[in-house]
Amino acid sequence: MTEPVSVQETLDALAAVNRGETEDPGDSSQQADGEPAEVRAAGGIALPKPGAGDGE
Amino acid sequence: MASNPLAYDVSVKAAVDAFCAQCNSGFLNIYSGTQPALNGAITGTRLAHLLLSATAFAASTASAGTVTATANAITADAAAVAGTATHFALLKSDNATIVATGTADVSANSPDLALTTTAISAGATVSCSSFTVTMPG
Repeated sequence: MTEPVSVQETLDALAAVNRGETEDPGDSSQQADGEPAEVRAAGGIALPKPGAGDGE
Repeated sequence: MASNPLAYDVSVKAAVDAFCAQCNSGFLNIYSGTQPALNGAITGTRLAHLLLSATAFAASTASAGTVTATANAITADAAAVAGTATHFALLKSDNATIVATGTADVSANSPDLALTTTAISAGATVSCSSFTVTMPG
């Protein structure tokens, strides 16, 4: 049996969405918790061999 | 006789450590736009601004003729603006002097800095789990 939802409960739920406390399904760039997707990085740079010529 | 320079580990380690020391308390910034040419000024829009440790890299080690230094902890950042990441720069602690730049892209494109996605949203947490500097001997 479904419990009736008060107007105040509905307003509170909408306010929570606006505060980012719950998922906004209309924004696909957001994660389920309302935060933007995390970007993880890893890598590095390779310095040239010291004194390297063309080997000829 | 053909060229055959052989830089010894102790010398290469000194070079790599000196290079890395320039990054102490520096930054790893990620940008959109075009990577600058060698010795060129920063280009593009800065998307993320990750702080390197006071001692940015651990002392280098030599293995099989290659010297490697691995970055100490890098502080994640919330992206200031949205954009498509294309390149990064290592900067000194003044956040102005460029130490090096490289490409940033998804790993399938074999960039210098691999990202889980190049599409960075404003406010997205950008983190770097590992960064190394290598030099062959």
